[in-house]
Amino acid sequence: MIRIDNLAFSYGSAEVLKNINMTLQEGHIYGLLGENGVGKTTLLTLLCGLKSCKEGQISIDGRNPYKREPSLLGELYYLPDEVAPVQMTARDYARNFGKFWPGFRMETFLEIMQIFENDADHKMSKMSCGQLKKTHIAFALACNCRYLFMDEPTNGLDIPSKSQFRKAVMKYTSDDATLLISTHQVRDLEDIIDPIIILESHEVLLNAGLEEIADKLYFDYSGAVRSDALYSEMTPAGSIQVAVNTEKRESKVNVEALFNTAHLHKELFRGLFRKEE
Amino acid sequence: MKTNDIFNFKRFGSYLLADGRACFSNFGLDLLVYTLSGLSLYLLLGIFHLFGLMEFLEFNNFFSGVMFFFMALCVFVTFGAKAYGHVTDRRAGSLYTLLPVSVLEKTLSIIIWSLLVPLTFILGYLGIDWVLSMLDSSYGLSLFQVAFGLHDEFSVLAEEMATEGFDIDFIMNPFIYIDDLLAAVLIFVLGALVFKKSKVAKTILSIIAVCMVFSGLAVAIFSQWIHMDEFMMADPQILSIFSEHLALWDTISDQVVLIAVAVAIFFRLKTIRH
Repeated sequence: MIRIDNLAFSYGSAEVLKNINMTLQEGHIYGLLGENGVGKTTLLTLLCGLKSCKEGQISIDGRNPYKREPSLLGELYYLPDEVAPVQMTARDYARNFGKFWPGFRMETFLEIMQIFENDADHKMSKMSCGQLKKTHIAFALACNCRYLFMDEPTNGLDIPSKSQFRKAVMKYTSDDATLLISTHQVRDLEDIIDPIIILESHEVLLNAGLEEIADKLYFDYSGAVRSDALYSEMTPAGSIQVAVNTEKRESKVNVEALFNTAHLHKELFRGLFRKEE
Repeated sequence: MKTNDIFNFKRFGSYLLADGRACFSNFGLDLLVYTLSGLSLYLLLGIFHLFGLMEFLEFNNFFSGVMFFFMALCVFVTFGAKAYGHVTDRRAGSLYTLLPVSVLEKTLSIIIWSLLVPLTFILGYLGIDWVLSMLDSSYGLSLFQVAFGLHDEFSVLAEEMATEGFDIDFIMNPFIYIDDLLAAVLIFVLGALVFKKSKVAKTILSIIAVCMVFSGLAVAIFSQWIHMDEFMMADPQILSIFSEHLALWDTISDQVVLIAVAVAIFFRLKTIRH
């Protein structure tokens, strides 16, 4: 379990995160959403131990990730938004570094590379950005870690690869794994992320499962104009309107509309999804 | 923190090999070019003499010696940035930092490869040089032979300096310079881990700055506080105290520098942020 208590972080005088409190449970794929510069990447790098928190604390199974103990590092993996090329083939890279993660399986890596239609014997320094990203995604999933942090994993992937990514995540992550995926491309990951975390003004505005969101908000795809709509948008498929679910009707959550609604009605969301301490 | 999180032999062995493979991936071509530079020079001059001047080359090992020192400098100075410069990169550095290996193991691996790679260059270059001297009678002495031939020259120099107990055999023993070699390389590795850009230039500037500070302090301490010049006038043999225990002073000073740099590398790896 990941626990974040009163976390605050700033780059010099520029405050990035403040008063972050949340608990990330096992067996969930969390979607981390927010505007540019709100602190998504900073939060991920704090969680995996690449930075130390100035205020507050982070604990993963009761341990501080910034201490970078090998036993904890072997249970987590961080996939950055920009990945580095290496002067090795993908196969050699996996063989060389995979053994440090106890759960790593070479067969899984090669299977995922095949799903992505990516040549494992191609030198990584000669790969395109998309191929390189797919190699690192394959490696991340093949490590079979209990905690997997991904920053914009579908950036740079072509359309078929995004679908393959969703399938790979569902197939190759264990039931007790905790995934935290930061993304702007919510449509790429809409079907796999649950719960949703929205960062706004450097704080957690929303941290709720789809069931709770659908219980409190109604997503109307009918096209009929609603006077109580918090947000409405015309889409190629029709229209979508978001309103408070006073009648407790069932609806499918549209994550993009949810985010836009949250952005427009911050105080309402804070009240609606306030967690009892 | 469990003991296994500090050091594990099996994990360290695996990491040493993995780090070595990564080192040679990043620096292997450079190492090959530097090691073969003496041979390249010999062949280049030979071709020029044969086809340009229509005569066989009478090689002067002075060129080989100069080339050796220049290439050794290149190896010492560039190895750190090429092999470990990626640690400060936001993309590549995060994988390195989050690799499930302890900081102690990473530091030890850096120290070992910082010794082995330059040694590989030195032995490779001098080995090729020795083979050429065996194959070509006009090549002259190999650099090994030139180095050991300096033994008598240094003995004469020591006598002129009237320093009793000056151990020439100690000075000529190549193994005493291993810690100097390692310290020199590690300083540039530390620079590569500290600076994000212009790693070599900033390391050189830092060395100059540190030397200026320590020189200033030494002058202040020895001339103003200890009044070393008065000691020297009172007892001219004071210099021989240092020369008689040269081995000890050399070892102590080298180990202090080496340990300081190694500890600095350890703490840099422990606290690096991305």
